[in-house]
Amino acid sequence: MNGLDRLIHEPARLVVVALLNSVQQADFLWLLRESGLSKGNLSSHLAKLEEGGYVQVEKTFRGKIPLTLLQLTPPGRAAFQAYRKSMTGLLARRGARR
Amino acid sequence: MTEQYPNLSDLQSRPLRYWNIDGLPELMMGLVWILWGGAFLLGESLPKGGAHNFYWMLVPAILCLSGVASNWAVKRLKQRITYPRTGFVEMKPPSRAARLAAAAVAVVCAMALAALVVRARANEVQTMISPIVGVLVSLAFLVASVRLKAPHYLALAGVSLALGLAFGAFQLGWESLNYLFIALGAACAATGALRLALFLKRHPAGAAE
Repeated sequence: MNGLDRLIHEPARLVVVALLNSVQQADFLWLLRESGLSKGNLSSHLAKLEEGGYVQVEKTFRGKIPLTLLQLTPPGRAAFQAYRKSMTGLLARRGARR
Repeated sequence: MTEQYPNLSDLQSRPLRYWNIDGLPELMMGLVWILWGGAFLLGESLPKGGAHNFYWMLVPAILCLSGVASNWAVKRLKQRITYPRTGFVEMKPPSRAARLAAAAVAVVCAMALAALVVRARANEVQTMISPIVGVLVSLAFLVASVRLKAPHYLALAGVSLALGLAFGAFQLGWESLNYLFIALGAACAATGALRLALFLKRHPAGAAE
């Protein structure tokens, strides 16, 4: 468990990272809807991921409506792939021990 | 821990499912199929002559452009209808492996159809073409239904199979294929329109960030 990336391992952040990994980029509204998190909760998780350099946040406008575009950075994508690989290995080892 | 662990495979497939949330892709695909069937029917009804020849020169371009145009229209409509209501997503470009796999499937299908046309007798091909296309479209809907977890595609798979067999039974020859595409397109467009209406009802305008 010590080898797991703590920034991604938290379940809500894992959902956010997994969703962002499946797209090129998405806006806050889509992520809010798909993750099932509250606005405040999602914002705080995104701030942590941005701080860690995993997510790039771009604030722009669609007409007169504010639009927050989110994208996983290359280190973010690499960290997610590494996390997934180590988690799959961990779960396989647990399954083999039973 | 395993109970709380999110289903990553399910999360990875969400964007693909989201693309179908509003019924727009089906609606446009249905309209394109109606156009294809209609274009061939119209061409066959034209009297032989200059206009007939000119029309058949245009048909391949119309068929090719209709695919590109429908793709463009779906994107534009999503920008106006879907993204302001439920959010914007830009899909990942397909990987090299996925492109190669799609190309391989297209080549295999084209070769199988060409072999069928060359090896079988003309009458047999004319009789079997509608059921064969019906089965192929039905299989495609079946795969889409499983991949996208969309039960309404199962209904469309059943409709495709039934229409293919029915038009085959009418023994209309190649013309049956045109009617099949028009009927399939109408079914697809109707499903898409219904799903779009439901989407608009569930997500009224003004749902912004």
